[in-house]
Amino acid sequence: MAVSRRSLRSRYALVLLVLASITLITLDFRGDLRGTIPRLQSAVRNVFNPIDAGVESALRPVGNFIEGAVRYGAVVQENNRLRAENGDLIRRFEEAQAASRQVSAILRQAHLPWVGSLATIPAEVVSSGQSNFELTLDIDKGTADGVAVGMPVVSGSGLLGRVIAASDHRSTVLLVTDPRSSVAVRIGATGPLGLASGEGAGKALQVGFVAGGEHISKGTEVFTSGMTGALFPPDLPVGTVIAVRSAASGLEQHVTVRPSPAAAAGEAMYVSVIEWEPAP
Amino acid sequence: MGAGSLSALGRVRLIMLAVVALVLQRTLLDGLRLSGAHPDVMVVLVLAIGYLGGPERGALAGFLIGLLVDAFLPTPFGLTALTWTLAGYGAGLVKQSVLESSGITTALTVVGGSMVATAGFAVLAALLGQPDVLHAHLAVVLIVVGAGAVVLGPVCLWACSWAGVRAASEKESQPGAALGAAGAARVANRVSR
Repeated sequence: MAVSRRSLRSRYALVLLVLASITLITLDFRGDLRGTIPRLQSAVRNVFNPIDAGVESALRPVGNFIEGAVRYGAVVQENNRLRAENGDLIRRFEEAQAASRQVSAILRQAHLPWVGSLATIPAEVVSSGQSNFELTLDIDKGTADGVAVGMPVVSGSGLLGRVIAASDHRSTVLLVTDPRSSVAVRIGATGPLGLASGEGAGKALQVGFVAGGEHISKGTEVFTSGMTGALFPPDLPVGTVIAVRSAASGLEQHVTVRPSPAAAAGEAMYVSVIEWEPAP
Repeated sequence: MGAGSLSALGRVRLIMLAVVALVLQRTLLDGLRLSGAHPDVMVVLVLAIGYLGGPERGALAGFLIGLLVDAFLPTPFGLTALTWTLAGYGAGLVKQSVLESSGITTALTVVGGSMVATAGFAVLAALLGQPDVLHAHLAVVLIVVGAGAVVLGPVCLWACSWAGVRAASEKESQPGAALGAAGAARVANRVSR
């Protein structure tokens, strides 16, 4: 008898807790409670962030040691490649700086906005996101540092994603490769427009809604289009075209774009948050 | 609710355990990416509490720990709580329905349970409008979570029995009280060996 009463009680508890969870999901879904849930989440993150940061800095050498030991060959190879790339990049950087000075001078004269002139917040990636199902990264800057939800995030090599959650000193960045991410893009400097969607970790982006008829060659750089109401400012490099396929109707082309290496790998050490928010 | 037979010290220890596990998850385990997936100590902790403490305590632990984890996830708030409430309850039911818990049932509950709970989470997320989680990647996630549970399970079981988690029945039926505690420790011991 006692056992059955107990099992009845635990069944009641189960039903109660399941109903409570479903209620929370529903409230979160409908956006009721006027932002109470995001505020609650942000409060919990604010409690844990200092603890995480402390433990992380203590554990980092251990993690680095293990990773270095396990991937020694790959690390040495990567280091050599990076040295070669670095020399090349320093040269190109010098050239680009001269060009960028000229461009910003011209654009200033023409009163046009330029992404190079937007302020950025440098941030360090502190962890790859907690979820096993979303492609996110956590960075060490938050609302207290000027980061806001919606701001674009770039790594050295191009667009990485955008901020989807921010607490005082941490933010979560949804990568462009996540299937929930879409970016309005322009193919080439003056080419056709399209919508680049993520396809998952390590996969290329698929650009849809590209008008047929316009010739697109492999290797063309793809940039954010920055049209009115877009989620990103114009002219951020997104990636490179690796394949083009015409739809049977000939009205549309399907373009495959390789995202920047950091976005493709889903990891970066240092990123910049661009202080630009999409128009409401 | 349900925690009535758990001492105040035990409750404090359990809260400490959850906090330590979460910090460990965020600082160390989230970075251990194998093909884009990482092990999950939080779900293992819920299953361990459910297995040692019974369905009611498992469900409550699943709900509370799930809510804590939900604060860090971009998925709908409450989804982890819902899945893990069921997972914790299920782990407790398994323990109740076997006559004598052995290393095999313990391992199956913790390792299999973590995979089932993760798959359940993906299915619910898909039902709630995120169909992309039911992707080939899910198989990798399940394998990594399951393999992680093999290592993390014994640690969590040991930690839970340290916190004094044991089924209410073992404590209430008087002569068996000491036996219950010893039993829980024995299970944890056997698994950790």
